[in-house]
Amino acid sequence: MTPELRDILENLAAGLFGLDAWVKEPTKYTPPELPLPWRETGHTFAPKDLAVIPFFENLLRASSSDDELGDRWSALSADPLKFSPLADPRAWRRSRGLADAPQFGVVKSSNVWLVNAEGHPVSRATFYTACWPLLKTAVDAKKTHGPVDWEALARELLTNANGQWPSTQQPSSAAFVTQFASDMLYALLGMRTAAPEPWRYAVLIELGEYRRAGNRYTPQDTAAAVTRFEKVLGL
Amino acid sequence: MDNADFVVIGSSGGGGTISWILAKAGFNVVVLEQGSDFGQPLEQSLANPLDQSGNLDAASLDYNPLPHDEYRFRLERPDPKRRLRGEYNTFRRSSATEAAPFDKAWTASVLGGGSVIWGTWAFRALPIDFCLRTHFAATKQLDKLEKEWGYSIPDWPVGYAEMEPYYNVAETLLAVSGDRKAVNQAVKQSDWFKEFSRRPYFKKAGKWDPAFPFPCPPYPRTPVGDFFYQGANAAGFHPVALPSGMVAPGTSGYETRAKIQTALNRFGRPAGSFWKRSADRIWSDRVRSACNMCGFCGEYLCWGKEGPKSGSLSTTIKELRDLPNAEVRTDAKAYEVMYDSRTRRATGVRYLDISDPDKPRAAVQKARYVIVSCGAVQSPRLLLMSGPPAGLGNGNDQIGRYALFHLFGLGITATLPPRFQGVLHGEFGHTGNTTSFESYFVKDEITASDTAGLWWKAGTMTSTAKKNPLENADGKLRGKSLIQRPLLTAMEAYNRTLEVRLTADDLPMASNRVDLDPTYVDEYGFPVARITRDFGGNELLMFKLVEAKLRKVCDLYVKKGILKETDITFGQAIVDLIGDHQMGTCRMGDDPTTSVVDRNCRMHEVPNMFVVDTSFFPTGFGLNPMVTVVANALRVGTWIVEQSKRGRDLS
Repeated sequence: MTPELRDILENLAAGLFGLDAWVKEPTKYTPPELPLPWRETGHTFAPKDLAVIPFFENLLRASSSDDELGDRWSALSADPLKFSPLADPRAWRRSRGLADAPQFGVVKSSNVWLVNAEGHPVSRATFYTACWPLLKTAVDAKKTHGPVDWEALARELLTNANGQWPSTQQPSSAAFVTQFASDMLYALLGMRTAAPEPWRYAVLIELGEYRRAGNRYTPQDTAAAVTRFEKVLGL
Repeated sequence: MDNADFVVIGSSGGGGTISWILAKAGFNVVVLEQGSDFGQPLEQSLANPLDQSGNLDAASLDYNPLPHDEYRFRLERPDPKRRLRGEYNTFRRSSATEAAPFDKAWTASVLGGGSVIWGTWAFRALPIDFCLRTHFAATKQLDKLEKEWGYSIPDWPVGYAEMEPYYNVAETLLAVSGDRKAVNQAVKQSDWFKEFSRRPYFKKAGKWDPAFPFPCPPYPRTPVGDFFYQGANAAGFHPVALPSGMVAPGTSGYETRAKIQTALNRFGRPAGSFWKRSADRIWSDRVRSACNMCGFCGEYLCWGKEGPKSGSLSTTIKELRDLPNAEVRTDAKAYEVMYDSRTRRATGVRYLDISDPDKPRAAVQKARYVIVSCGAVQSPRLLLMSGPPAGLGNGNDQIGRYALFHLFGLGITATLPPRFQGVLHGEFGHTGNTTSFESYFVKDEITASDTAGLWWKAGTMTSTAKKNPLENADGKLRGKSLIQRPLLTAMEAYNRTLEVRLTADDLPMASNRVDLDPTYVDEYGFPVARITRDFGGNELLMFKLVEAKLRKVCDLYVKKGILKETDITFGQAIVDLIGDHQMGTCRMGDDPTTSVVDRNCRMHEVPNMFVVDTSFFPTGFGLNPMVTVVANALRVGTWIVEQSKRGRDLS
């Protein structure tokens, strides 16, 4: 991934969520935890604070073997009995009254995550590789009119309304931005980026979510939480 | 082991339990589990608990947070713990339509099966659950249910009294936490109980106030549980702590052997020589750790040195692995029960060793007896792929019929106002927390039809925490195309949201069934399971009746101005939302023409075969089936041991 692409993705991620405006809303929930460094004056809170792009690059590397599985699924789509251990699977099927032309339906069952235009399962890396040139073109076109409004661009991509990303193109801009936003959510809420604490949990903290990898509690913790809850309930 | 006494296919509550008792009694047992042992690498990492700097990381000594990964356990596809890669099922609502592949009705594919990733809601069935036919005949509802709506509702061939001693042992093995007196009281104070309790058959159904105390104290109440508790209490619903299959938090650990000794000495032993042994000949001195309420339990893998979450892996399989006469083979996908048509006996199992799924290796395990325990979707699939063209033991076309899945999706969702942000703490402990039996039967007080004034079967209400913020956000992104502030708003609301779920019966119909899909195959060319399911009259009526009951839980909060009616949404059950509560499909009964297995779960047509997963359930209860399937496996195992002691060849 080039520095330019990393930069584009960091900005697009910021445009997808609008975290800075969110935490600065005067009526927004204020977490009791301290410190909240992303709220400090002069700081613009963005996904890059949580080291989302290095995490994303790791995700691309880790799922690259999905292409091999995709090839296997494609081979099975062409010949669903290819890996049968039975000596004569067609005769076996006939004897049980099953169809002569079996199908391998794993893609139809939604038990794969990403598919290309032909319905062939692909890895994240392969999926995104087709998107990068289109994204760069879309961003470059925006730059000719001045600074990019990343929130507006995110909305355009989500609604297939960007003129530089033809609506006939596969993957569509909506498919791209949905997958990218999904991967960013994993980075923001998954607690597995390289950002130090408390930054790694910043979005969870701002949501009031206390789920953490390695959590451990005692009955006293739950009793205190119930007391606080009943106080807010007014019981 | 070339020639075993028993080969057991599946390692969850049924297979994992019966394999233990048989091996403990001295039989040579081989367990074939299609999934991997996910726990082993985690346990190995615990054996070397050094942090990145090489210092002792005390925090990881007892618990391993590696599985605390919401993406891996809730979103990733293929989902390796829920099904083998390349596995799936098909679904249709009616036999008149073609089934299409779908992503539900999963079968756990890890060592320990569904008992590893279950939600730990650990109920024993109520006495009436074993005699619903008798009940509905007495109330004169049976004709409506069977002749008009098309159900087939049998009594179980075994009753509560026969199951009770095994329930005691099952609850002991599963370290169930709870308050027995409170549960008994909650049942007896329910309106339906008061209505029926004077009827003779109802009294005779079994002991309604069992004395056996839960072996662990109640699980601590959480804010989500408290919401339900206070609301249900105000509505007169008699809420109690949910019995949970977890070593209770705050305790010093769980000594199963000592608990077994107490249970057997103080509350009676199940019949049979096996249970005359002293506790030290039944169980090791292993001590299980107390739950630390990390919150990653339902559908996650709770791994530690001595898992606090109960299931076969942390109990019977762990014990089984100590025995020289037992062998557990993981990554072993059974595809045929070998059958000798001349002798009408099963002779073993053919399976694929898929430890390298790209290069499966066909293998055979011969055995004197075969026990099937693959879950109520995969067990009928395996039987229909075996033996004669119609399937093994399917001479009367009964295999796969009467499939039951409970009414998943039925419940209410309440979203509290913004001042509750960060207050609900859905992350504490497991998903459920408090429960009520008030809805086990629900009276029709709203329709003007011939169902009015009568009580219809439903199930238990349970508070349910929203524990997966990433899964929720991803769903809102993909399902509703939300980004930016609307997405953040939905994520905020999720933190203030909770559910009250109804675990309710879907009554058995012959047309709801599992069979082989005629078209679709899995990675290895075998037909996948086809599920045909629709709701019947009782379910459709239930959707109307329970909404008002569930909303009553929130009346307290509406009256106090905390909630508006619009903050509460009601969800009907979703017909293809088929999860881990899979039952029926190999019905237990005395009549071979209308059932698949006899009262001891032995196949009518293949006398050296047994089916011990939830497939045998004639009806489905209104509660989680895990404790019953473990208790029944103990019962059937005990029977097999006794028959053998008496020199009887089971075939």
